[in-house]
Amino acid sequence: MTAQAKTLTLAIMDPPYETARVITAFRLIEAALRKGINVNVFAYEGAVSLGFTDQQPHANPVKGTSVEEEAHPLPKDWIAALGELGNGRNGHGKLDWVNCGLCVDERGMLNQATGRRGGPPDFFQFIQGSTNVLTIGTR
Amino acid sequence: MSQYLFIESQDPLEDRGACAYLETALDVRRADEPVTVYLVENGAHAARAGARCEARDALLAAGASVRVDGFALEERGIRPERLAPGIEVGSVEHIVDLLADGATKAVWH
Repeated sequence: MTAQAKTLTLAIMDPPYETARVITAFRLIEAALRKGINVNVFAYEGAVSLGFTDQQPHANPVKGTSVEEEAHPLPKDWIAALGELGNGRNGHGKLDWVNCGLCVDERGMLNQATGRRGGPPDFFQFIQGSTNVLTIGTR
Repeated sequence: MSQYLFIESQDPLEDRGACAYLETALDVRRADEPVTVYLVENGAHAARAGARCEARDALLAAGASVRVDGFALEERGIRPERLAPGIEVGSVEHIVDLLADGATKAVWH
């Protein structure tokens, strides 16, 4: 990683399971980290639910699958995997994931799989230190 | 020199806001600014040759780069050979490259 490594900031606000925007955001984050680009994520509003540790997989009685067979994906696991990928080693970028604290509080999403608690001042700092910023707003 | 990246995630055929968004991209292009429109998620539907989308056609005619996320095409069973002429298949990796260019001004719809 050179001293001039680039940094992208993404602001996201969608909760899990409701929209493809979450998946596209994850894909962008992964692609950037693999390119050695540092990524800041400011998760606010519904997006603070993405890393909620109490997410649970479930069986599917309609398909007749067990919990194991269903292998229900959990966004908290994806975020944790992005965190491992974004450790700054092996040419990968660093991931700094911030959950808006007020959004966490009002939703009760206190237990987070990764990331740190923060707020709009963190987003402002992210913007100031980034090569570019992409806000993926909700509908 | 700045370049503009308009990422469209909605299908202009069902979302009037998406049409207005593409028309905004067209206005920027007609102001002689470099413009790339990236169709992702349901925006990929507008990449089809059979989709009537005047703003898309006008963007291509005006020299904008119009690309569609290959992953979105696969999800929707849209084969690359069925795309409108001039539309290129892209990827999130390319979107990241564009973002990593500090001269790119990016907007998501």
